Amino acid sequence: MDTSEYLPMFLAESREHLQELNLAVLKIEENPEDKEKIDEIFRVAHSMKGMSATMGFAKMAELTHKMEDVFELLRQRRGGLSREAIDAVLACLDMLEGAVAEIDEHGEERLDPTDLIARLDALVHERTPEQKAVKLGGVAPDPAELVRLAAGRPVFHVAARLNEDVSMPSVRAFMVIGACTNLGDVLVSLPGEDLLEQFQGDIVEAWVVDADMDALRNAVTEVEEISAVEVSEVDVEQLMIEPSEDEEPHVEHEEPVAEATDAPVAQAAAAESKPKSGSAAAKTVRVDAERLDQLMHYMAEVVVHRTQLEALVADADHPGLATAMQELTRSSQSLQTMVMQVRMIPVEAVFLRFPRLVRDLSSKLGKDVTLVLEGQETELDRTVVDALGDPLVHLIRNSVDHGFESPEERLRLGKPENGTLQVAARPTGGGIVIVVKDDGRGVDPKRVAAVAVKRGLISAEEADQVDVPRAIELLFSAGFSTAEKATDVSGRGVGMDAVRNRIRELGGDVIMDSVPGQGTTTEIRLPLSLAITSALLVEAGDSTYAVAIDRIERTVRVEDWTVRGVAGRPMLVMGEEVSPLIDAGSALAGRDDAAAEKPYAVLVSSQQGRTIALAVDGLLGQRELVCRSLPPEVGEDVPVAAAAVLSSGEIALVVDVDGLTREHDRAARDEMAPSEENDGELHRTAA
Amino acid sequence: MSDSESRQLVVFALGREEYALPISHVHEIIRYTEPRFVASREEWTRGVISLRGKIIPVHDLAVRLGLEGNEREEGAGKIVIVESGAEMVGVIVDEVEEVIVLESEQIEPAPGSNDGAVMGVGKVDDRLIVLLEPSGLFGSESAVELTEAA
Repeated sequence: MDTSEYLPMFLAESREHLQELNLAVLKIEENPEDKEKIDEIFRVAHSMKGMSATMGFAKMAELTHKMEDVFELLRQRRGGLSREAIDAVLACLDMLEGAVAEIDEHGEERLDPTDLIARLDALVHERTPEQKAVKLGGVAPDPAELVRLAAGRPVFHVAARLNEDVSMPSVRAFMVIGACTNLGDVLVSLPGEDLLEQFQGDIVEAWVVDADMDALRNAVTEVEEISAVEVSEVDVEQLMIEPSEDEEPHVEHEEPVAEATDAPVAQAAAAESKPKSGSAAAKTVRVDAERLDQLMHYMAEVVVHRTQLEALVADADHPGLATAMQELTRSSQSLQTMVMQVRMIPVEAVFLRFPRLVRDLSSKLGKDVTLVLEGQETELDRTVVDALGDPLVHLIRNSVDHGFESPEERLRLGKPENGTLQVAARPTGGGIVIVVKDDGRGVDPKRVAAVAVKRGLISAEEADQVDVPRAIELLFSAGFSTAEKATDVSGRGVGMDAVRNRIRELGGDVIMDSVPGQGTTTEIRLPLSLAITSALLVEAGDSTYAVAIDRIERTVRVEDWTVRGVAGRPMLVMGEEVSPLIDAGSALAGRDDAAAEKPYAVLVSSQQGRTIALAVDGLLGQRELVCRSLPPEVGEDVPVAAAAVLSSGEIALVVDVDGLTREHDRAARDEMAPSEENDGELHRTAA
Repeated sequence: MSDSESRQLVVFALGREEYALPISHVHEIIRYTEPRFVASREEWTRGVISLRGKIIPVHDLAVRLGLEGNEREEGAGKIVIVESGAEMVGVIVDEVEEVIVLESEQIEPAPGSNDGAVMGVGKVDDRLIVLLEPSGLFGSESAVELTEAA
């Protein structure tokens, strides 16, 4: 069978499964009694095994199968898995991850799981009696109980092994037990009556009294799909002496690797969790991320064309056209909302890898760190979530490596022995904030200053002046890394500047705050999506700009109102309302072309709660734009936030209204200072 | 450039001089289109263009290298899309000439001082080809240094 078509899906699902397993295993380490997690482990491991086998990756399937055996201990033993077992399982997951990467790159699995399999085998070698019993679909009868029930009558033990490929084991079990019931009195059966329906084992057992041994054997042998039957008389007294070991049925019970895809226990687990996973699977569809991007792209095109059409419709006069246009607009807007929603995924997708990361890092560095995750359900555009992974991993590495003190040091400082690392996401208006907070030693200005001097970022004299805010600034400058020794934990040449650049590319920002001795808090602020923005296109100084519609109060003709100068700056006076009039050409292009008076003004409101009149040459109309961030080397000093490619291929710059306001305030402040000194002079001139 | 290895280079003309970039850093070459002007701290940054929806900055190599009065006709010229690190930038040149292979013996270190933009000078017969260093050309590091120096 040619499975290459399914390879991308296999890879994607495997990665997802491995991540889920990683997380679940860590959860189990914390709380071994978490039944739901155990079920999840079985479900995921089983489906992973099935997938690998289907795709022909036998070694992966085998390794997963062996791993399942270890997981099985969870179901049998209380108190969870030993540290050793957890480590072995995590090593398996790492190897499987490696295998997935290999398959992705070379199309074939290249792993040698022999050693690991031996390690896993050693762990499951000693099976508990209970474990054996459950494999058989129930709990073995208590010998004392059996003796009591038998009341001195001879007890026959019937053990029937089902065919390997039996399709409905529960039906066969029912028939075997039924045959026994017809011939005598069944004291106990495995599976028991209550467990009969979900029976998935391959051996059916019954303890029968008042029956003939040969008749029993004949009757049971006649049941279809039975490969072997053994009937024997039970030595009840012997049972009483050696209760546990003798419960083992005489039919050999082996679980060959060949039946990897339908290991009974795993299947039972799958069956148990079916109602939940089954319905979820039916309601969700896996879609290639690239197709989602394309969907978004086409959606944006539809929106652009729609706005063009709307302009044409406004001029045309045809009965019914306007209504049809309105309806088209409405459904296209709904569609747009839908597409946006489809692209939203919970940040959990990135958060999932953190527990493992923190566990590995802290054990490697000899630190004791508790990770607290909050707000995993907060949703973000898929692109943003994808891009968020590396910066967050970097922040977490930094915290564990540099932030936290060793447990001994913490005790000495009077802090709790284990540190707390909190990663929390929460929505804010129009965006989300992700906070990475540790209660470690905080940013040490002296240490930072020393490194900065060594890196040539500041002079030795400046070093004395470094306080916490300045130290944080230095941390974010290019070429800085506090890693005193180059570990494989951090100090890989990417510093906080890379983190900030990445986040800024996404239209967000990073803010760090630190209290020495108490810890560091880093906030990542992000927009909800790299979405389509409704914008008004305007023309200024031969260039096109876009102003987000939700920032626009209204547009006016400048000649309808009065323009007055205040301290040399033009103000647009509209009755009671007075707003600074800013020339779009010079403010946005960073070059002076205010010479020509602009006929229109767009009144925009900033987050600072102010209104600014942006003077422009022309109003080109409303468009739906897909905004993209500007490359870092352009537009640093001008209030433009992003760029959008218009349907003509021309690029429009998106006005950063808040930046515009800040710029204006700064310029006004700079001018105010000297004007205060020259107060008298100015008055004289005015007089 | 200590070990003996050959380099594949894209050679292009700028004024009356010849320059080259490693082919591994040249993503593609497109016809000149007027960039959308965006104010920048660097005088050689001419603005941005859209390359299949991606917004990339465009730099004027002549201005960067301090070649005065390098005028070209309207619409003439090419934009070389250079990959530098994870970033892509457009570089305006007059004409792309050829792809050549230079052995490292043919490359000499650049005479005089430079700010990291020039990797060396290649000699082919009587031609002198200036090898440019993609990361030093418009990379943020050189930009930072230069702004600080200014």
